[in-house]
Amino acid sequence: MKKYLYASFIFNRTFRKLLLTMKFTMLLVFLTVVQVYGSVYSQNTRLNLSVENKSMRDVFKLIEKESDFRFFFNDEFTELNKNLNLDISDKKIDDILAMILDNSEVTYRILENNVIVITPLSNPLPQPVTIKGKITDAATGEPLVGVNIVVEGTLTGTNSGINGEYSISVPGPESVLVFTFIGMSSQRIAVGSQRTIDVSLKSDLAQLEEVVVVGYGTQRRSDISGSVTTVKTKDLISQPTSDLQGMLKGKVVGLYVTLGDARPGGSSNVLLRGIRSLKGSNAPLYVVDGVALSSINEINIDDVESISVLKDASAQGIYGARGSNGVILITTKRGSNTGNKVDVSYNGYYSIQNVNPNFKLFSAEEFVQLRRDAYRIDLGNAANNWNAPYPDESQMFTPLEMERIASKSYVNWEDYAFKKDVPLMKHDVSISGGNEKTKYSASLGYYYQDGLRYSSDMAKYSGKVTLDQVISKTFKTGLSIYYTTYKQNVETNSWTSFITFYPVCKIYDDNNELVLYPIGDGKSVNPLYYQTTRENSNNIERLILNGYLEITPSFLPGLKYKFNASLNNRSLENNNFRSFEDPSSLTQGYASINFSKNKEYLIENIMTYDNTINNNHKLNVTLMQGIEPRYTYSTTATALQLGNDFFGINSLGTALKSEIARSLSDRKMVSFMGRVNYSLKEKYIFNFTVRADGSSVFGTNNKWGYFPSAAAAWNLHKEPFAKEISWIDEAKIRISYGQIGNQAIGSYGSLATAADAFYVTGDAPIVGYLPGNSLPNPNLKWETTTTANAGIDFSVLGRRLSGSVEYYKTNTIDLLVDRKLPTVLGYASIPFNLGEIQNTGIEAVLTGFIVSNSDFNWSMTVNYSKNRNKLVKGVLRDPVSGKYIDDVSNNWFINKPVNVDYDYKFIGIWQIGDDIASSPQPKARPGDVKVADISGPDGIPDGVISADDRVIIDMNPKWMGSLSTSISYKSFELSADLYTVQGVIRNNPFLSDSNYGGRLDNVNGIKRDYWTPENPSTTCFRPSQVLHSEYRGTLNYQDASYVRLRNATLSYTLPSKWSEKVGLSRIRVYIAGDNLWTDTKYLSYSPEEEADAYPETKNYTLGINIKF
Amino acid sequence: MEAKIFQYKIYIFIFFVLVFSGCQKYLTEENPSQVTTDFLYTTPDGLQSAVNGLYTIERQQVSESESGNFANIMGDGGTDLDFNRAAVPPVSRYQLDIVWPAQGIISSWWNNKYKIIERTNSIISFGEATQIDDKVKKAILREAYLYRAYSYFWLVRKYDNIWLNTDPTSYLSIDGRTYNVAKQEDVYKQIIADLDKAIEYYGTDWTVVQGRFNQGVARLLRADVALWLKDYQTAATQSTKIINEGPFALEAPENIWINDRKRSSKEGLYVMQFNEFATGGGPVHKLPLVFTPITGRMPGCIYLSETGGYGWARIFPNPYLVSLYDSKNDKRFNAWWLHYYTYNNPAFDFSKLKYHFGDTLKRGDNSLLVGNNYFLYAQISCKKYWDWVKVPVTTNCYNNVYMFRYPQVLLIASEAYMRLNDNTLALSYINQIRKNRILASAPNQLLTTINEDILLEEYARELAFEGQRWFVLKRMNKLVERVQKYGGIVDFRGEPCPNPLYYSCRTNIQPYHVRWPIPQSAIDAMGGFPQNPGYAQ
Repeated sequence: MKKYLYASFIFNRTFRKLLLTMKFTMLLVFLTVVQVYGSVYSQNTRLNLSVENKSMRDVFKLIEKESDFRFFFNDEFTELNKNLNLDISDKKIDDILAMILDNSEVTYRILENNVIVITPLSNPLPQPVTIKGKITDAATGEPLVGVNIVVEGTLTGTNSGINGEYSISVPGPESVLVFTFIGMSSQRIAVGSQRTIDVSLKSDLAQLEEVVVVGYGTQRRSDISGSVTTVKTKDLISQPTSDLQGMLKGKVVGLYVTLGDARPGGSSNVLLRGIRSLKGSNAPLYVVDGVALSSINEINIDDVESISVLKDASAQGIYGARGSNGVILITTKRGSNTGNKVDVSYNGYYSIQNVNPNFKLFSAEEFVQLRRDAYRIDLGNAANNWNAPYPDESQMFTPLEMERIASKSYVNWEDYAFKKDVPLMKHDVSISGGNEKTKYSASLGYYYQDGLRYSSDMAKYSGKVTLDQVISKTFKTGLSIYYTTYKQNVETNSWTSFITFYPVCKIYDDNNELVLYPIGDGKSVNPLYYQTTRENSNNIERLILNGYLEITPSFLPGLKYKFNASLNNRSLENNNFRSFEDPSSLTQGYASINFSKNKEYLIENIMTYDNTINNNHKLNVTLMQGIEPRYTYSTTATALQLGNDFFGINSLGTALKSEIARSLSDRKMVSFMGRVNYSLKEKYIFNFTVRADGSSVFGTNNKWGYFPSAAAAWNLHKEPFAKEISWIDEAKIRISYGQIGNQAIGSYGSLATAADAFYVTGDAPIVGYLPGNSLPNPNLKWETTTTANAGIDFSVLGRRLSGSVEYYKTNTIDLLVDRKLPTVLGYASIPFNLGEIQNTGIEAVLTGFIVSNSDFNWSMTVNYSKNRNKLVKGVLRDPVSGKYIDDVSNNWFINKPVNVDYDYKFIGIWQIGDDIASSPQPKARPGDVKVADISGPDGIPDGVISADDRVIIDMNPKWMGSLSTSISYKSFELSADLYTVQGVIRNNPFLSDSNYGGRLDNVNGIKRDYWTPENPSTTCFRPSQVLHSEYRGTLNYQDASYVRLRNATLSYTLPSKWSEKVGLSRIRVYIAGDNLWTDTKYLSYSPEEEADAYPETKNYTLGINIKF
Repeated sequence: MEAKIFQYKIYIFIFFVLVFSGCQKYLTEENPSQVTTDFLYTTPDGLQSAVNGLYTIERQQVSESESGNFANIMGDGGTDLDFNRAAVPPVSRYQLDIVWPAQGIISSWWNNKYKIIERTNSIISFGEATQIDDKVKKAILREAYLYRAYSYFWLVRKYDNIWLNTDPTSYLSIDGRTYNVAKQEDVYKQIIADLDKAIEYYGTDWTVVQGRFNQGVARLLRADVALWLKDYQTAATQSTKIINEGPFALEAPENIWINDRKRSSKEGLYVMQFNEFATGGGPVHKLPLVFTPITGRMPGCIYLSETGGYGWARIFPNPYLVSLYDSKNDKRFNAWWLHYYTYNNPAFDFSKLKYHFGDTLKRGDNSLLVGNNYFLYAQISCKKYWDWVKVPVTTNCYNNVYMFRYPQVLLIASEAYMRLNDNTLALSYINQIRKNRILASAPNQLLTTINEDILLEEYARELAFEGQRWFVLKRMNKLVERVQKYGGIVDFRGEPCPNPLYYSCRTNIQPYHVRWPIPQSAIDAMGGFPQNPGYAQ
């Protein structure tokens, strides 16, 4: 029966994943049934109607227009063509219908949601039956809200509402109810004599119908032709951190996330598919609810609904000149239709943090012995007598030191550098709800992280409100307000000053007062002392306002226009204070405040058109136009001499001498974007995107950039031949090609501006300006990355096993570099577009549901990625041949990766008895570092260690992978997450540098197996006070590969009968551990940071999720 | 229907507004807090501020990070007068085991001078082409001409073989340049042309604004250039013009640097300006520290203003320079040099020590004053760079630096007439200095004979540690000979120097050291530009 649907629907749906499900539900509607419409009108509404010679069909249309009633009927009814003359005023709908249908062969029935069903008289309505029930998730027992319930073969349907409960009127006992829900297997249940039908739905392993946020809209996963990875936020939430970027580690294949700043409030670095820019930023573009943000640090993870990472040109192409380092789309939560029910939930956890060192310091005794060894070895070295006895103690230690060694007044500085069992907590409360007209949400968050280092911590408060309102069939509007503020206190002393401090000393005197100079040398300041004299803090506030208006004009179904505007305001106040007592300030105290403010605006017009012709041709067109002005202001006030220091940083005003600096910049962008998605029979999918970006920062002659891309995908499993292969559920092949840009240019980089060059004559300042050292280049333009991507997505064995494999190749040209100029031209450099970098790689993800039944589930996901990076064209050229040549000063080597070092190769330690004199290092002494004689200029070892013996050391990881697994049994769930990075080399200065105790002389450092005549170490040189080994820096290159159990979580969801007793719908408690186990050779607190960085922590967390 | 048409109208309006609004203008960049070069080179205000900026570029040589390189030159590094302990000592010691072309000091001066030259090229070529009042134009451009001449003069004397260019640089002209060694006569021709232009533009204007170029500087440089070209008549004419018509005069030697701090010096032709409390007062510099020993570290000593304050002990006068002064009668001996340091901390407990408050620091007093340390902690300070106003313990200094002082004019006049065989006039000019500097009671207050050696000695006494010595010795062809004879420090107050490096310049210096190498970075960048003879390629 062909059904003609007059009704336009606002879908009565509510679920946490509103955005993800929208498309899916629309599809269901078109294919099957009508959806009823919860009314705010009543059957008592009075209408006026005046028609002359119009068909019944037209009259129904008119009523729909004037009211909220919707008609359903079989289009084949001839009665509908009957012409009518009516003049009705102020009548109820029943009266009107009675008049219209008088003498016809049809009758009507008004359903509870203002839907009027027209049925033939000859088929009298059976007695309707009302069925009630509750729908729950089979796995969790949690009520499912928004499940689609329809009476099979009819237009009647509803959604589950509060607590998963529903009520539906069915024609009779012979009716069959169909329950469908996104991500769940649907169920058919015959009504029979039942009046209450409770259903529990099982999750469906197939996710291909999942709706994915792709930027300027959403797409069904099966319709996507580019490379897009989505992350479920529930996988991230249990980690106790405010670092959203860090949470993505191991979750997105191809994304290389490394520790950036581990202090409270810090964030991680993100690199997608390798380094593409030499001078410009390699950080991806973050887009939060359509707003491009330069940092996402302040976003509360609890407010995040979904994260999509756009990885290839066809996906990134919609972000044009900014997309080439990848785009991370973050969608935050909004209200949904809960049938006016208010959803309230609370999430909270409490965590304790500790350091997790992979090394030991020399203890005080060991350090004293190190000094003895150094003195003895120095003497032995000079006299060529390695068996000489230790010199007298008085020659190696001062009387004070000997006294302290005798009385064992030692300090273990690590005890003073870090606090133990440091708390971290997070509390989030959110409410949301709404009906089909109005949806709202509000959330409040609090996060506090105490720092491992003294005087460092962070407290963050955030709040978010959203409102969506349907004004009429044509207009919809909404807004969101996001506000967050935090205060970060930064530690006042460097960690290096602790661990390198001489451990033979006293920190507190006999009166328990801090000793200023614990060694008594008058210059080595007790690092604890700065805690009393210094203050360094950041106060940050961010406000994001966003509003939109959506117009769905009736003249062309499928067309939608959206006006989007937002303001993003971030202000920072950095305070830096030193009191009069601070030993390092020779002047009277110091105070400095920096105020900086970023204001970013966005105005966008987005037009979309969706149409499906004959069920075969599906077309989606998106057009966008937008402008984005951004402004930055910064003012710094510095007081060099304070009148008093009573009020800390607020004593700034008492300055006797002050400096004030001001800087500001702006950048503007105008953009046009068009995207066409075409799908033929859902088998063949084509995507074309082009974006034009005009940016103020580009040179005068290159204001506009154009970035086209194309992609195609083939849903193999929809072909007849594939359908016959039973074990294939889904298979898709994707290819894409396109260009995107990196506008890594700072404001005014292309502008011929002059720098301040003020001068003074006597006491009179005179104004001066002259161009600085960089010659302006008005031809400056964006870097262009061309990406080719090919991938396969599959799901087999009854969807037990699914995954994807991808290959990509990106070439970035026109790299922004500072090209050095001959200084005789008066400039040191010119910003220039030069060179080319290539990245190639493969990525694979595999997910298996090893066990899946109602009580016991076990799933596992493995991902693997590998990237190869090389500099194809550099900056320097051979003046004669014109060929690109290596730029050693920048470590840029042609056809080699970009992130490399260039140094000698460590091959051991010279030993007593070695034939040193005739070796390539004839001046070496026993205990010195031995390096490889790789080659002379002609490539043959030449018996001499020279600059030609240096080798290129690739610091980039060879591959990365992760393994996550989740086992659930009834209400228990255990999940674990292993992560590995292999083949990374890091430079660890603690192994040789004098400032870090690496030289084994006067300062303490990381404990190593050093060389002595009696201990012929082959891994570490000899200690010394005077003659330090040459080439000892080669020891710094340490393998920083690691395998880590990043997180393990055990959770328990209380049975609903228990939680309902205390009036709650769901209670989940969990314990989790982070960074529980790490296997690495790298000597530090983290394999991703040197030991003097703020240390990464090991955490134990207790958390609870409550739904009211 | 009406509503629908209205809707259409809105859509069409939005479409047109969005698509056809002027993007190009919107994207034009304007820096809200910086001026553009357009303004700079085409308006009188712009040109004036560009010229002002030239002083700032030159002063960048004295910034915190560069002050070692600057002090090396000003402290007469590599001459017969200095003992350079730690301000780029390898270059002063003519050390042969270092790669000179790669040394920072070699490129830092080169880069700074060429930067100034490019800016003067722009100012002159755009400024001359701009339609502004002729008087205004001359008043602005004369300093640019002078700066270009001054910079090329410095370069050609220090490096001999340089690139000569008077065109401004733009992004269009960075490729396809050929870098050839200019003939020295062409360089001097350009220098003379620029100086003559500057002198012409000054006309009768002898105004002296503190810290700026003036007619005196123009004629001093013209006279100095003439000496280099052995054009003694011009040297005489130009220098006597300054003496007869200029507003400069000698002051009491003890007042010269203190008066400058009071902004009332009459000896300064060009004094580089610093000011802690004014915008444009320049970077903090550390010059006083370079010339002052670290005596405050000695038990019983503290840093005081009258002993120069905080010290780094990097450059000191050598015994030869000290020996040139008549210690009793030459006022300069004590006015410009502090010879002895004493234990000056009254709060210190001397009771158990063999030295006491007020005693002079002596070798072997304590464990710090042994070996090389005696040469380090008890050395002689050059007071010419002291910041008399600063807090003694701070390392931040803001005192001005004399770049050209009036006695140099008198010495040039004296030399010019000596070369012209008019010894009477020659003696009259040199004796003007001696009359002022030496007690009238002294038997040898006035010189009666003059020759090159006598002249060189007076040059040393008067202008030591003012950055002129190396050039004067080179001009007279005596650099190698004099360094071999007097360079570095062999002994100090009768104590033999324990560190052979301290006098290694005497044996290291080679004939090719009379010119610096071309910086390696410049050779690399220019491609094909030859290195100066003798230096590693």
